[in-house]
Amino acid sequence: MDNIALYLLDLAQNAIVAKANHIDIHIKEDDMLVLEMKDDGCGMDEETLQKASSPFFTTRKTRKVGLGLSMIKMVSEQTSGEFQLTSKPNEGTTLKVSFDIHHMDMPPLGDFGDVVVMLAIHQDMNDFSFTYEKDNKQYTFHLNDMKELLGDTLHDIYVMNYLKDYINQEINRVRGIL
Amino acid sequence: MKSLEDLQKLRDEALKKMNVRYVKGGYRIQVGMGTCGIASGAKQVLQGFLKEIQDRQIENCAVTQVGCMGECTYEPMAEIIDENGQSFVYCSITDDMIKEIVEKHIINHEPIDRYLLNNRKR
Repeated sequence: MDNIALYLLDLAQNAIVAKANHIDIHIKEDDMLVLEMKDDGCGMDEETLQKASSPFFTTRKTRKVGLGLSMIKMVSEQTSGEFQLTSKPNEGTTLKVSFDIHHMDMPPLGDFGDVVVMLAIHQDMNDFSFTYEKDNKQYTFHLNDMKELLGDTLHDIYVMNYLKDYINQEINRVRGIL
Repeated sequence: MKSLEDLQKLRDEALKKMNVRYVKGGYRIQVGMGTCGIASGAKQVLQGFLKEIQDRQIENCAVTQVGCMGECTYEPMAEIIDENGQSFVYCSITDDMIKEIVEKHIINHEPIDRYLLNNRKR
């Protein structure tokens, strides 16, 4: 995986598998990029939590490796960032991971608009919010609000493409690029 | 400049098309997006299907994503569910395959056996 947005897409799958009703994704950009993801899924016990970021641990039966968390942990550590994972059974899981945005090993941010739309059309996604914050400005996408606005047309290809561009436009506005 | 007002207009146009689509039934394309899928290029595959469907103006097809499909070696993979609910899992998908799958399977209703997971695993 070669950008932060793709890691986000991957990590959100963990929350979906944990049967989260709501996933809260918050990205804050200053000198550090801080990505926080909270879910209200099934959570993990202490023993599972300790092993969760090991590449040779997975709860799946179909394979023996679990690379999602271990890869983002590696990238954060490579860029002088921090990785924190907290969880309680039946309460949910919170992942907080940071990256030094000026570090030479910092991957590109990637296409967040695309990833948000892909998460929105995930067949097992209940609800999520995505917030991008910088310099006291922020943009928030709420899936349930968008479902209310768009209904089934959320899966229409023209609607999806427009929505992706709209989200990227709003993120760029927050980032001061527009 | 993109706006929510224009998004609503697009929604209204899409709703008109959907009324036609539901009468005819349709295809559903589900792209596997686990870590393995994403690392193998599943995002490009999903975008490839979306572009092909848009370019060919296919109305009776929805594209969505699912998690790991359990056969990581054969990623990127996509499951096509036809109007009768029959499932076809395509694996190790490339850009050229996407065009062929859309043309033969979605438009002409002819699944491509040699790309199916069951046949490639043998």
